Amino acid sequence: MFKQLGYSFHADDCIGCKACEIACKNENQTPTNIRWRKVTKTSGDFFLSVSCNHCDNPECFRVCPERAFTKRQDGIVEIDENRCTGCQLCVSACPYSAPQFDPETHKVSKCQMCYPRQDAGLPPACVEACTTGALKLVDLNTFSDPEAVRTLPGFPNIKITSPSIVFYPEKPRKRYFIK
Amino acid sequence: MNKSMIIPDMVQELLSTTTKGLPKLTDKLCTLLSLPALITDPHYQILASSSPAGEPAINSILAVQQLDKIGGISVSKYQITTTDLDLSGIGSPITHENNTLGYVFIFPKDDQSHEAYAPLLSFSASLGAIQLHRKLEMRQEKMKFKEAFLFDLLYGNIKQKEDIYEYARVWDWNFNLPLTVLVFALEDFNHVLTDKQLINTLLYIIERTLLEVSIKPITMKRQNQVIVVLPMKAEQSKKHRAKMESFSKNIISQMKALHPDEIFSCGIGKTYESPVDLFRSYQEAKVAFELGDILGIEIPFFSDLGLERILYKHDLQELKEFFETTLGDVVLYDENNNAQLMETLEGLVTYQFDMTAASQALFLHRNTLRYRIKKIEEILDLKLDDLNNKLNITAAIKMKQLRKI
Amino acid sequence: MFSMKDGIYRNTCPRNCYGTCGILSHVKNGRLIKVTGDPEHGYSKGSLCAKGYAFTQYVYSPERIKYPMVQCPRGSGKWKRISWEEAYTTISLKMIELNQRYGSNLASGYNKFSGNLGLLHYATEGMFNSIGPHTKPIGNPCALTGKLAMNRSFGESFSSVPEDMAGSKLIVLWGANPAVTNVHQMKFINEARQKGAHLVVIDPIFTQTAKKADLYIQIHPGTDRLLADGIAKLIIEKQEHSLEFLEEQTTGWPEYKHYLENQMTIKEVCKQTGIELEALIELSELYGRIKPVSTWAGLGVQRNSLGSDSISAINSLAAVTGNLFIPNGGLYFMHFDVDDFPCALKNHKGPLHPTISEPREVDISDFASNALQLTEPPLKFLWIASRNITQDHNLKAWSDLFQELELIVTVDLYMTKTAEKSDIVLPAATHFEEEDLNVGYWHYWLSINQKAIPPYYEAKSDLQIARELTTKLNELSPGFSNFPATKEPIDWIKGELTPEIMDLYALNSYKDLLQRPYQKNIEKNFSTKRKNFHLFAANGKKNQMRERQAEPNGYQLITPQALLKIHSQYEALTWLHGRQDESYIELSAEAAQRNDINDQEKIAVFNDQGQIIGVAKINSHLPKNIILAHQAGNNPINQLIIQQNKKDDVSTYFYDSIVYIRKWSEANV
Repeated sequence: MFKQLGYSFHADDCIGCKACEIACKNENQTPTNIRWRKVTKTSGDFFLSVSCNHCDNPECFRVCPERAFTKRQDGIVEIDENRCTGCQLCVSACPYSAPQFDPETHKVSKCQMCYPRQDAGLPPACVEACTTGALKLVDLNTFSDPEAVRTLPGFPNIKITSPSIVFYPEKPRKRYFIK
Repeated sequence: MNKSMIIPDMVQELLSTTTKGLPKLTDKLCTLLSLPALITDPHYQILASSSPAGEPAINSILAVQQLDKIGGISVSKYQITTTDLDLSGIGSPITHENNTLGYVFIFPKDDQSHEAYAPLLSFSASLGAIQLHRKLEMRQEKMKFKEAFLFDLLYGNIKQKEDIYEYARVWDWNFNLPLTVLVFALEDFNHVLTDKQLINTLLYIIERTLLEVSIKPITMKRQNQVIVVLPMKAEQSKKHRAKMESFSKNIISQMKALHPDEIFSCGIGKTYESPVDLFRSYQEAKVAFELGDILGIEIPFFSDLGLERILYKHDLQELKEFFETTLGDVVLYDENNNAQLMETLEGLVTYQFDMTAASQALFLHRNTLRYRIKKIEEILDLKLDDLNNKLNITAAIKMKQLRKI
Repeated sequence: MFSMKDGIYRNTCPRNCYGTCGILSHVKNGRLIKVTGDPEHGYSKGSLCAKGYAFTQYVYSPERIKYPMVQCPRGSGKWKRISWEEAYTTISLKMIELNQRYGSNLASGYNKFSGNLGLLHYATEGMFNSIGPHTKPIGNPCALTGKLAMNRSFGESFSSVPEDMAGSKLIVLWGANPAVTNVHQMKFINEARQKGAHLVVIDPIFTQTAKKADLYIQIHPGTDRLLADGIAKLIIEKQEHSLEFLEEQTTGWPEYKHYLENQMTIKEVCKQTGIELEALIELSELYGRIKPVSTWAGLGVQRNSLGSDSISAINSLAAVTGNLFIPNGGLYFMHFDVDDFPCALKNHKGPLHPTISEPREVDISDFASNALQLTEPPLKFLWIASRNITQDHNLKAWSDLFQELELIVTVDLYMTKTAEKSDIVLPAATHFEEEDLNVGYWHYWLSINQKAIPPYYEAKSDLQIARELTTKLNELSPGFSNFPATKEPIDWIKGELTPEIMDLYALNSYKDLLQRPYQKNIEKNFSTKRKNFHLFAANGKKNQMRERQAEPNGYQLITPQALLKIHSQYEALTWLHGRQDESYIELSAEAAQRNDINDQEKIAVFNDQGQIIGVAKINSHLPKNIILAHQAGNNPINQLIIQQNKKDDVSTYFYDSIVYIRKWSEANV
C-alpha cells in the first residue's frame, strides 16, 4: 500500500533538451527565478535533470521549525506554504537545491511531483515531457534492477538524505577526432 | 420430485457456531460426537480445544505426524504427541484459496470408525476456514491501519497532538510519555526475498525482546529498516539512554548470531515530549544511522553527533584546508617514514586521549604510545595536553573519517 | 471583445523546425494557462520541446508589441501608438501614391520567410498578389541546395518517414544534430538503439548528438562527398554492394563505378577528410554489412559550396548499399509536400497590368543586394513579415537598402532589430490567437491550428491584416486589390482540403482534424518499382576544399542553431534565457593559444563585413581551423557572412565564410 515514488534517470538517453525543466514551469506556472527542476551539464559531459528527490530521509523536513513539510504515503514530500515563514533552513539543508526561496512572496516552494496530476492518473509534467524517456517515474518500494545505480559522478552526496532517484550510467562510446 | 431436501441436524448445529468463534466450533464437535476436538494454526499451535467431561484436556502438542489418507478427500490419519500421551486421530487441513490456515482434529475411540467421521470433519474444516480467514483479514486490515498511522506519525503528517493521542488509543499505546525513535537496518539491502525475510526476522526479534521487558512494541517495517518508537516511563528517565543502548546492542548481537554474514546497524534519535515532534526523532535516528556507519560507531545517538553533522555538511575545500594545516605534517611524516602516527592519533581520539584505553585498543605498550605522542608533538610543534590542540586534532580526525580526506 | 470558451484546443507549432508538433492548449477565462503535447500526434507523441513548453510566457510576455506604432524619425526609438485605422491609411496612401508615381506596384515589395510556416500565413503573399505585379522574394536561403541535389538523385524531393527510423539497425547522421534541432527524432533513434541499432554521427563539430553516438567520426567541413565516395569504394571492393538494385533501379551505375574504381584513392579521402583509415574501414563495414540502414543528410552538409555534391554522394552511398527503398532504411533530408496543397493564398491571381505581366522577383538569399540594383522603379516600400532580417547575411547591403526605402512596415510579435529600423510596426498574433493549417517538412502529419484565445491587446493575424489593408486600399482607390476580404479563415482552410488532399490524408472533412492530426499515405517510398535513382559520379571534380585554407590566419565560421532559440525567436523569454549572456564564441585550444586568448575572455570575430564581440570558450574537440558561434538577435553573427559570385539556384553558403579573431580591447573599438 505504501509507495516511495521516485525518478529514474537514464544518463545515456538524456540529450539535455530541457523540456522537463520548462514543462515544469508550464505546468506549475512558477516565476522565472524559481526552478523546481534543473538540467545541468556535469563535468563528465553528460546531463543531469534534478528536482526534489522526495528523499526517504528528507533533511528539509527535519530542520523545518514550522513543521511545514509532510511526506505522503506515496512518498511525495510536500511543503505547506501557509506554514512556511521563509526562514530558509530547508534551503541550506537540502543537498539538491530543491526548496526554492521566492524573495517576492518570502516563501519556499518546491517540486510536489505534480501530485494533482498523479492523483488524476497522469505522470508528472517533467516525465511526460521527456521525449527520449530518460526521465521516468518509479516506485522504489518495488523497484529492482541490477543495472541501476544509486548515484552518478556530479550528483550531490546521497548519504543521509537517501534520495528517491536511481540512475543508469552512460555506456562507453567510440570516437574518432581529427588529429 | 416431492421429496424435500434433508439437511442433517448435525450440520445445522455446527453451522450455528460460524459467527461465534473457534472454541464454540470445537465445543459443538465435541458435544455432538462425544470425542475430543482440536483446532490449530498452520504451525500446530492450539487455537481451540474441547474434550468430553471427565477426559483430560489437550493443551499442548509436541509433535504431529501425518499418516495414511482416508478416501479421496483431504482427511488423513494423524499421530499426535502431547506432553502426557500419544493420541491417534483423524485430521483435516483448514484451507482457503490454497493457503493452509490451520488444522482440525478429532480422536475417535477405535480405528474402524475413522472413515465414517471423515465427511463431517471435512465439513468442520470448511467452517473453520470461514472463521480463520475472517480473522486473518481483520488482522491484516488492522495492520494496514496501524502502518498508515505510524507512517503519518513518523513523517509529521498529523499536525494535531489530540489526533495522535486518539489514534494511539486504538492500540493502547501511551503517547503521553516522552518518546524516542530507534532505527535498525540491514546494510546493502536488495529487493530480494531473502533480504525481505531478514527484515521480518529483525522485526520479530525486536518485538520479542521488547515483550520480554514488558514493553508493548510500537514498530514498523520500511524497506531495509525496522523502526521502533520507544516510550520512556517517568521513573526510568535517568537510565533511559543506557537502556536504549543495551537494548540496541542486544538486538544487533542477536541478529549477528543468526546471520553472521550480514551487517545490521542502528541509529537513535532524540527524545521528544510531544508526539507531534516524533518525526524529528525518526529523521535524527536515520542521520545518526548514516553517520554511525561512516564513523564506525556501534550505537550512534543523534545527540552525540553535533560536531560531526556540521563537519559532514561543511564545504569540503575548507575542511581540507583545515585538515592540511592541522595534521598535514603528520600525514607527510607517515608517508616518508612508513610510520603509522595517524593511526595512533585516530586511536587516541576514539578513546578521548585516555592513554590506557588507547594503548590497549591499539595493542601498544604504554611507553610506545607515549613515545609516539612525543613524536607527534615534535612534528606538529605543539603540546597534546592543551585542550585547544586536542579539540583541533579531534575535529581534523573526524573530518578525515567523515569526508574521507 | 469576445471571449473563447474554456477548454482544450488543438494547436500546431508553426516554427521553422522539424517537429511541427501537435499542441493541446488549455484555456481558462480566455487565457492560455498551459500547453501540453498532443498525444494523437504520431511524431511528437504528446511531448513538446523546451521552447514549446514556454508558450504561455511567449504569449503573455510584457515585451510583446501591443499596438500598431509609428516611429518618427526612423531608428530614433521615438515610438507613438497609432490606431489600426491610421496605420492602414498611412500604408495605403503610400502604396497608392507609389502606384501613381511609377504606374505600377513594382515599387512595393515584401520580404517574408519562415517565422510562421502555417498555410494561412501565405496571406502576405496573397495580399501582394492581389495588387498585381509587385516585387517579391523567391528561393530558400536554407535548404535549396539540398533540395535540388535531392531532385537530381530521385527526380523529385525525397525523405523517408521519420518514425520508421525506430526500426533501423544502423543510423548514420551526416551533419545533423537532432539532439539540439530535432529533439523528437531522438526518441526514435533511442528506440532503435535499445533494440540494438548502432548510431553513427559524422560531423566537424562534436555536437550533442555526436556525444550520444556509438561511433563518432570528425570530418573536415565540406568533405562529406569524399567520405561517402570512399565508403562506397570500399564496399564495392568487398563485393558488399547491392548489385541487383544498382542494375535495375538506378541510372549511371557504370560511370559511378568507374569513377570510384579509377579516379579516386582511399589515401586521398583520408587526407582530405582528416579521417583515419581505421575509422573509414569501420564505417564501411557497418554500412556494407548491416541492413536496414537509415541515412540522414543534414542541412549542415549543404551549407557550403561543395554541399550539393556531398548530398548527391551521400544519396548514392545509400543506393550502393541497397538501403534506399527498403522498410526502416531510406534516406532522410526534408520534404516539400506543402506543394501538394493548393496554397490558395500564395497562388492567388491578382489583377492584370496592361504592360507588366509578372511580379518582379528578387532572390531571397541575397535580397538586399539584389533589391538595391532595382531601377524603374526602385524598391520604395518594403513590408516585412515572419522575418528578422538580422538573421540574413550581408547586413551592409540591408543598411544601404533601408536608406533607399520610403516606408518600412514590420509585422512582428516582438521589437526585433528589424522592427527597430522600421517606420511602422504592426502587432502580430501568435498561433494561439488565429486559425491555421500546418504541414510538416520532416514528418508527414497534417494538423489544424484552432483559435484558442482572444488576441493579445490589438494583435492580428497576417490574414486579418491582409483582409483589412486590402479593404482600406479599395476604399481609397477602388479596384486597387482583388483580395477576397470577406473570406473567413475557416473558408481558406476548407479550400486547402481539396478532395485530392482529403484522399491523400484519408480525411472526410476538415472537422476530422479537430479530433486528431492525420498522416499522409506515403507507401510510395518503399516501392521496389521505383526506378531511375541517379547515381552521382564526381567526374573531373578536383577537391578544392583545401584551397580555402590557404587563407593563413583565417578560420571557417560555423553558426549552428542553439537549443532554446530558432534563429532570434524566443530570445525575450526569461524562462529560457537567463541573465547570463550565452553568446559564447567557441574556438580550439590551438586557435586560442595562437591568438593569445584565454578561456572566458572577451574576443572579437571579424572580417571585412564587420565584427562581433563575444566571450571565448575553448572547446578541446573543435578542429583548429573552425570558429563556432551561435545565432542570436542582439549580436547578429550573420553580419560576417558574405557570399560572392552567387549563382541563382542555391541556398546561402552560411558556412563558407572566413573570419579572424583577436583579443577584444577598448582600443580596437
